[in-house]
Amino acid sequence: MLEIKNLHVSVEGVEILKGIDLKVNAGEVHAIMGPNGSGKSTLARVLAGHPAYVVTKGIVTYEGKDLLAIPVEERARQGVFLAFQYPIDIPGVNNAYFLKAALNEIRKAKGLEELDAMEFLELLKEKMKIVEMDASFLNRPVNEGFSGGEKKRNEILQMAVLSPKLAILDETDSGLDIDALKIVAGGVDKMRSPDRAILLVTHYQRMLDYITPDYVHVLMGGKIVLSGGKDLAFKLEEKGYEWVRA
Amino acid sequence: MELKQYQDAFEMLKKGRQCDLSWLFRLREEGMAAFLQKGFPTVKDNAWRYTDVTAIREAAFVPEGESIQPARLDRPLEGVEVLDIFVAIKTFPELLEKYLGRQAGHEGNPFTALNTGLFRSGTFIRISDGVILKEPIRIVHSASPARKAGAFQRRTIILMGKGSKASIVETYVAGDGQNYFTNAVTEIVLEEGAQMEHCKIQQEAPEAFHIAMTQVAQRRGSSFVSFALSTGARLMRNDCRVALTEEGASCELNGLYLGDKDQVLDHQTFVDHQKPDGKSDQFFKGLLAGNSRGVFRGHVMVRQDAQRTDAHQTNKNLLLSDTAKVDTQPQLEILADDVKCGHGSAIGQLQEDAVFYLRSRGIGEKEAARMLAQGFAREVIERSSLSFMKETLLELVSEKLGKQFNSLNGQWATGNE
Repeated sequence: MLEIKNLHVSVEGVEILKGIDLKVNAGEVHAIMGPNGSGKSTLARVLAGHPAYVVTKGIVTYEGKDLLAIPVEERARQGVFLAFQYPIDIPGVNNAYFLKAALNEIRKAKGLEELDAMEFLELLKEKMKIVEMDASFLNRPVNEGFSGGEKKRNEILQMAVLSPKLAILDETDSGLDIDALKIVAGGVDKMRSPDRAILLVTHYQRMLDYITPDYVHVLMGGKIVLSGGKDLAFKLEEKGYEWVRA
Repeated sequence: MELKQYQDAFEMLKKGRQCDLSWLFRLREEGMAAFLQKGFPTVKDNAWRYTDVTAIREAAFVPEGESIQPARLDRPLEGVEVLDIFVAIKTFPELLEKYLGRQAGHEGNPFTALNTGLFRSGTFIRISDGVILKEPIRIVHSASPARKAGAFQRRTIILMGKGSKASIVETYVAGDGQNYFTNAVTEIVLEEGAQMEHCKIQQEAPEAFHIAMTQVAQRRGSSFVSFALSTGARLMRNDCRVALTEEGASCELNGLYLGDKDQVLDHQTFVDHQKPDGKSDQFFKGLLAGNSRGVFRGHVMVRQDAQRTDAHQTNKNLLLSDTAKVDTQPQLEILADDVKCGHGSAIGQLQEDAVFYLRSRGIGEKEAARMLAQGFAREVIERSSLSFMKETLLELVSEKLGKQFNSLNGQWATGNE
């Protein structure tokens, strides 16, 4: 589904990613782990098309297409989803309205009929159960006044509604207390499916208690320095990232 | 000479019946004299430094003679009078003598002076003591029938009796007019405990000029909530002046201006706290695209007597292009010592991160920008304590922004903060 070859990325002239290679198939869950500043979030944002990041070298293929040549909204319509580390407040834009607009854009791109307000509400109620979200969130402006945990839940709700093929979760566990982590990570786990790939970007192992990855990669200094199975995450938790360096 | 057509119109008017009471004749003469003496203001006048009205002067608009159909009630309501202003002058000459031109004096403002001299149409509204109106009264100022390059002088007087309650909407629309000049003066008096909601919707033709003065006097414990939505006209200057003349009066002034192309939309407020325990809250927002320019100048005066005044004003602007401009100048003048006052203003652009966030969910770039702009505008409508019109205002905003963004080709500015 996703193939990254020798990806180099710079921000404001500073090279952050220095040659990433990664292959992700449908149905797989990959965890990208690494210390702060290793380039994990950069990788996540580049895949979603954030304009601040400049790809200087390399190829990213998504379903056989050159992902980097596809505009941001078009990536989303073709099934790429990024759960933000820091979700953005959108004052004055109602959460449900926003989500309906997004879903209908994606449905249009797929050649499906747009959902009307009633149909959408039904779908939304169904999906809200996944992240145990209260209906009052729907009529509030997107992320405005949400707590850290509520924002993350809202991201996962969006993921559930938009039903992407490739979901990239950027530090979704950060800033969550144990109860919220359980709900959010549990929600993600429920969305595992044979035709969906999930890329979990995380600093800690704790999220992986709820979502068992098929592969774990360690990103350090802009490169993947180690790859392995789920046990690698436990080793990292136990020994720290210094162990990889040594 | 550029003022001649106004002078001629006044000479004609003097012979007619819209001038036949001696006090009215005197008032008009004073107004006209004040206008002719100074003529149109220039940007050298401090009060007009952001509003260049040269184009109005040069266009040599011809004062319209026709009386425009006045507002009237669909069905009569007890304790409510809605009359053509000249019918009101004839019916209640003493009342009109007492109120006409009292709130909006012609001294400081040449346009008010011109209006006083020449107004040929208008509406008089009186709500009796204790009367509570459930349905809003709507006044539509349509610039038709209009001859080419006509100047409309509109006058509105609204008197709210003690403990009365009403909502009033004044809408300015083009009708079949295109290139014209509206000069409107609205005088409002709220007696003790009266509560009024006032919506002014300015949707003039794109080539029109719109100058408006709303002057409010508030007695003890009265409350005035206003919303000014400005989307039309090539040049607009909208003044709202509120005097809290007795204790415990409160006002809330809201405004939203949406400019594009070469529009100039200028809002100026003056809130005069004269007595203790008054409250004022101003919240104005501007969305400016193309080469448009917005102005907000808010002046809050707290006089020595006005202890325990609570006065706030905020102005926020979103510039949607690199060539749009805004001048913002909140100003506090405090002579009392026990007060709670604050003001602030902000100018920003669409946040790049927010645009990215929406796009990353499949929403196209233009639609993302439109949603953000609309969200920005929405806040001022939802925050206001208007009990009616909110849906209508949102629809009008959405309509204007829809048109505006449709005509853009990815040409709007974003910034990081």
